[in-house]
Amino acid sequence: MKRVLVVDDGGTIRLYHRTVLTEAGFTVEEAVNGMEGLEKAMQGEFDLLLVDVNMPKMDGFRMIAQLRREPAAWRVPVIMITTEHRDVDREQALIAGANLFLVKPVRPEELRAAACLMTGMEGL
Amino acid sequence: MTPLLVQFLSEARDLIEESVKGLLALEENPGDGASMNRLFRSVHTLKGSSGLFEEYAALTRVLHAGEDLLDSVRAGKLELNGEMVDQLLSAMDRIGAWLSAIEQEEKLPDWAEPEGKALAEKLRAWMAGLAGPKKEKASVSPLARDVAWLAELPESMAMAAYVAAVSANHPLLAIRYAPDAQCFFQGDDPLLQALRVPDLIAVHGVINDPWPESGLFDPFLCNLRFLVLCLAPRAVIDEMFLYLPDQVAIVEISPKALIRPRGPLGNPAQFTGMAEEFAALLSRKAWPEMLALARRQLEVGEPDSWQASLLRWIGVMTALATPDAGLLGTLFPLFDHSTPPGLAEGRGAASRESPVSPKGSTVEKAMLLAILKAQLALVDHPCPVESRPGRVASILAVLSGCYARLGRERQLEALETVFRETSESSNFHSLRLLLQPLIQEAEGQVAAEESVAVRPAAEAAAQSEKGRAVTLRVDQERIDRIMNLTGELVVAKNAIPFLAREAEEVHNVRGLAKKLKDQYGVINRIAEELQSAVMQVRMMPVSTIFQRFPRLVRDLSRKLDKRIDLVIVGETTEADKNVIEELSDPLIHLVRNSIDHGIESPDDREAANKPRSGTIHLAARQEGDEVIIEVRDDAYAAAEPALIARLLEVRDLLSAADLGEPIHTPSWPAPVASGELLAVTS
Repeated sequence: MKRVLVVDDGGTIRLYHRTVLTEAGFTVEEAVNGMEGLEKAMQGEFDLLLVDVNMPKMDGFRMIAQLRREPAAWRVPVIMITTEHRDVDREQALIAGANLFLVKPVRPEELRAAACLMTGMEGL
Repeated sequence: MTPLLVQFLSEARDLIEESVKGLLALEENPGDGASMNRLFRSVHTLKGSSGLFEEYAALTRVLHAGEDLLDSVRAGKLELNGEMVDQLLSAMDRIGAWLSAIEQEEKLPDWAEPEGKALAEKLRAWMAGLAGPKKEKASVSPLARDVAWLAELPESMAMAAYVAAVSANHPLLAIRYAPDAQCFFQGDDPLLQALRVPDLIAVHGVINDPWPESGLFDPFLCNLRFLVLCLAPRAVIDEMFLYLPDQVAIVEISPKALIRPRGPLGNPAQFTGMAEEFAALLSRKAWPEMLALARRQLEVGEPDSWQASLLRWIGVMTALATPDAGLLGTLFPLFDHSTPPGLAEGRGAASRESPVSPKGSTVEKAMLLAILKAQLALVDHPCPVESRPGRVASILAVLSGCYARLGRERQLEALETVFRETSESSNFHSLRLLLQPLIQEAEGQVAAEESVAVRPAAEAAAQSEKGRAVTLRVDQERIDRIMNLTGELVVAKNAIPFLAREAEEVHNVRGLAKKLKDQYGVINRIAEELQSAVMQVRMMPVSTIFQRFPRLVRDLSRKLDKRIDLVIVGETTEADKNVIEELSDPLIHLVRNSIDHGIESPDDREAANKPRSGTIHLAARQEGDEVIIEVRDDAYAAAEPALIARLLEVRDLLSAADLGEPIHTPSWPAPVASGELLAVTS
């Protein structure tokens, strides 16, 4: 079973991502800010992270940059998801090391396609 | 209410409260960066969530404006003032009110749209002077394919359908048929159509708008939509609704999707322990006891409550020959919820059943391309040394994922080799070489899908490019012939609806009748376009007659020693060729009159305190179907006694009916020679 960690401070967005990914056959866990996201990512064996940009305690950019330095979890693919379509954010996401940058609200079929491709999920 | 909406509403309340607190704190202490960040994030998160619901666009618009305003304040581009805080607070109040409306009616009140616009405009007005306003992006709701409309089905009907479908052990087709309001005029009979669905399980009619008072009732408008459940094969139903594709949604659902307990949440205290009790019975598969428990509990609880509805469903499910233990197990914990969760998997189950989008593979191809490009961007992007191995490993993980998904496991080994090289040499070159052909391949696939759609547009563009460069001189008779033939075509096509009716009523072939009618629509449209195209061929710009006036005015004014400026407006206005040609003579007449008798000599003008040059305006403009041509000069006031006397004389010459005719008919009486000018003299 492929495991995805959804890191977002918005409960509605988390539920939405969880619903779409669960339907696609993923196991989903959640974290409510970058700090918690980093901790969980280091402990659990995740196949994919979905990370929001603007979060309390630690924002998405810092979380990803930190993740890429930690051998325990540095290989996990990351999709950065944000509400803004700003080139600055895209640039920062690349510097931090996110593997894909999507803009909210991500359509279910897009999220599904991205998650399946990046984790090698079969079926559907 | 879907679990997502429930979650959104409760989160939104918290965030609004948080925002209000933040605003007040910030007003107290404007320099407080932490408060500012918290406030911004609350609004930002709320906006992000509301974006999931397309139908609440008004909400998102206000929040977006508020977020942008706060962003400018945060960035130091604007200073927060009391009035701004007032507006933000009142925006939050309004949003709170809208949320209450959503809570009660699951939709925004009608006034939210204009009110939202006004609020957003006010907030944006603060940023008017700032550079680079962000454009609002049209967002497409990700939930558009929801089958929430199944909730409109009455509970008893849903239950009966569930039992029938489970007993038949067959997937269900759910059809939502919303006939066009004008459908009766297209020969449709929606109720009959709905009842003719084969293997029918349930039909339910819902009114679109409340019935008006009897005096205002319009029996020719269809005000109903239908929810139909059946066991028929998809192909049969598709065929049946072939000609109504924009009015139906056909979705294959599992019977489970029908399980949607409804009603307001009853007192949870009445149901404490229910979950455990049912679970215990379930472990023993004690179906009759479960049914009895559900019935007993129903007698004490409020019958309209959500829990009562859940109990009735449990009753229905346990009464089946072979109850679905797994499904029941997921229902029991719902008694412990403090908010009506819909069915925990309600939306999930339903949307899983929704048809896989035919573009599914297109989405995936496009996504593959985006992913590959992003990896190349990562390769090309500067990266701190300590996160290099992590970056390479994550790219490897992503590519292996894509390979596995696309069934290219055999190539994984080559991938590994490239990565070993990359990690050892700390040189991204070979990785780049690997990615580039992959991207080209993906681009090719995306392009192949798009080309079908793009080609006609490109051809049309090329055509119009050609058209612009070439003009054709054609004998007018030929154009007139095309015009006449088009007229005949327009008349002849009107026979088709009669044929369609005959096919239906006399020969009883309804399918053919429908096809004929559809084809008639096409022919009708083409004929009308042809007619207007031919009319356009005959159109000419008024400039073809206006262009001779500068010369005329110049020559005449010199001859008369007057100074006249001619101002021409609206030369590009078009009119039919015949009209343009007929206009020429009267216009010349008018302008000559103006020059000869209207505009005074420069000395007279100066004496009258006017500029030495007179002005003649010649203007054309389109007003609806009419072209207005106006000739105006700044000469004597019209009330010259001599002119009036002459006009009265002329009026007697013309019949009363002709008075409506403008004076620019060439038949203006008895022109008197005055030098070289034709003119009317008094």
